[in-house]
Amino acid sequence: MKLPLSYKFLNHDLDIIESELLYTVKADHPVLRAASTQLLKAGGKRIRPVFVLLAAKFGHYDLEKIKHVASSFELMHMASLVHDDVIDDAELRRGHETINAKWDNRVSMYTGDYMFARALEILSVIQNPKAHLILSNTIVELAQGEIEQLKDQYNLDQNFRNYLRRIKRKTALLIASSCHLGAIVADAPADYQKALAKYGYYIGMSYQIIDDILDFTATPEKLGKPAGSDLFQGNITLPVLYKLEDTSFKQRLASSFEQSRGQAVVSKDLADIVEEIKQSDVIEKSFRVSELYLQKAYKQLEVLPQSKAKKALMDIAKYIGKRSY
Amino acid sequence: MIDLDPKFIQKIKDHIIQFADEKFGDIKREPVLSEDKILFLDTILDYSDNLARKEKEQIIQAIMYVQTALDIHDFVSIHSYKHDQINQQKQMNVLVGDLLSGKFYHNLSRVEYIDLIEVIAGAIRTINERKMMIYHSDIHSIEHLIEEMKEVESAIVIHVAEYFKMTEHHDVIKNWLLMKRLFLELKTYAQEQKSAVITLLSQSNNEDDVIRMVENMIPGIMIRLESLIQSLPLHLNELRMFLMNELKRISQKQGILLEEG
Repeated sequence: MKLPLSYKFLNHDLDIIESELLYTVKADHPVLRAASTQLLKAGGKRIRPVFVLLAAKFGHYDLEKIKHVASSFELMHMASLVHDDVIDDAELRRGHETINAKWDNRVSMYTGDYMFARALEILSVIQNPKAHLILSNTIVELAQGEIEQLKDQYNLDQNFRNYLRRIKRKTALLIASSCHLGAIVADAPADYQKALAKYGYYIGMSYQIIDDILDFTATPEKLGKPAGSDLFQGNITLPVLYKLEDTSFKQRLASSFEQSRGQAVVSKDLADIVEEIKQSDVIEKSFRVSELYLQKAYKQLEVLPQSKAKKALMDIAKYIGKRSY
Repeated sequence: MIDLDPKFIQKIKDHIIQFADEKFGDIKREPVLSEDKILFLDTILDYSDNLARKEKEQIIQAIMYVQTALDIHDFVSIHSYKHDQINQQKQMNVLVGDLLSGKFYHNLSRVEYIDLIEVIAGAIRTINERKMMIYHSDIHSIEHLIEEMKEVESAIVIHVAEYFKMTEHHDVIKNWLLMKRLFLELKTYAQEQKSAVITLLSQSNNEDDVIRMVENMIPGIMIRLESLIQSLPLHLNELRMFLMNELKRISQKQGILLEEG
């Protein structure tokens, strides 16, 4: 199942948003322009703009207005990715060279700040304080989620609650806000707004859990980076948390972290641990948690009237449950 | 009537430093917060009659959040290090900046100043365009570099002043902040051998000559400032007196002779 097929009816509007995005990052300085454009052209599923547009379909859909919200979400997301790559010293993203690898960290910092500014500039067209309050709160939470992730690196005494709070901040809230703002800006009825925000939240949780599973199970070609990269960086995700219930595994991981921390090359021990996780039942257990969130997402859609947009939201949920990269 | 209150300036400064400390206690390098920028923002917002004190405080805090965010992002090391202390410092500088940018947006959303968000976002865009120009050495002369630095230093305050329709002291703000920036660059260079300006200019000049060039520029800026401050309109009298006294104090400390002096 291919994701774009389920919302083919939005293709024209998404093309407009794509042009809008490229126009928005036409900076005066050639390097700033090239870096921003490269980020956008590297692709991505544009899932946040899609959620904004689909949610807006439950109210008074006005593309001239809603396109600003959709573009802003993508720019905010891109700004956070380019800074993430500096944090992780990443050299590849989606198989393409990162901005920090092609230029350097300084160019990445300026590009991220520039994109954040452009996102705010185009979003200011929307004179709705509630919408800005929701998004700005999400941006603060997103940064706090990143900080928690950094502070929790190599910490093997985390619990499931830590993990869920972290992915909520890191991923789910931005998707929830994209659905919420789409509905708010289109003046959708209050109960639709609430249901769409919750749908986005549950979808976001499920999406991130699957992402964390795929980090172990997908091929490096599909991931655009080596499998197990999260664990190599000390990030404890759901499959690892399940595996940590086994105390002998916990000891082995602790000693492996001790040896490989600070090393440029991943130790054989750690590579074996990644393989062990991949082959164990923790992958299935993690899928089940993701599935629980998906079920909650479906439940929220029951409030909404039948429409192409509702069907697309259901299809996206199905796709997330089955995606392989 | 402008009401200068040093306690208010200190309160804003303390608030941001405390916030950064709570979130990033292990950060080695504290953000450098410009009291001058808080002072100018304070005078600009005083000029707007319809702002309650609490609201004024929230707006200045928000603006200083984003100013600090941009300054901190300049500290992000350009080098890559694997999992050591320097790497963690780099990561924290990225994150503290991002969090402060988010706080700026959140604060102004809370007081419903959507137009001001747009204005400041415009300033951030300009700043990053100009920083990129400086970083990539697309600069023709020292005068050009100083001009770009002046714009980077003052962009946010000037954009806010324009938003509140206060345009009489733009030149004072620009030159004052430039003077302070040059002092800071010289001080940082003397203490840590780190200065973006001196490093950049040293690419095509002898380092000692560059330091002398920057030192020699400061008296000229101060003399220009003296005349600009004296020409400030009457309703900015308190600001005029404050800046004149401060300028005299700096000139005495630096051994620079002003026209009056």
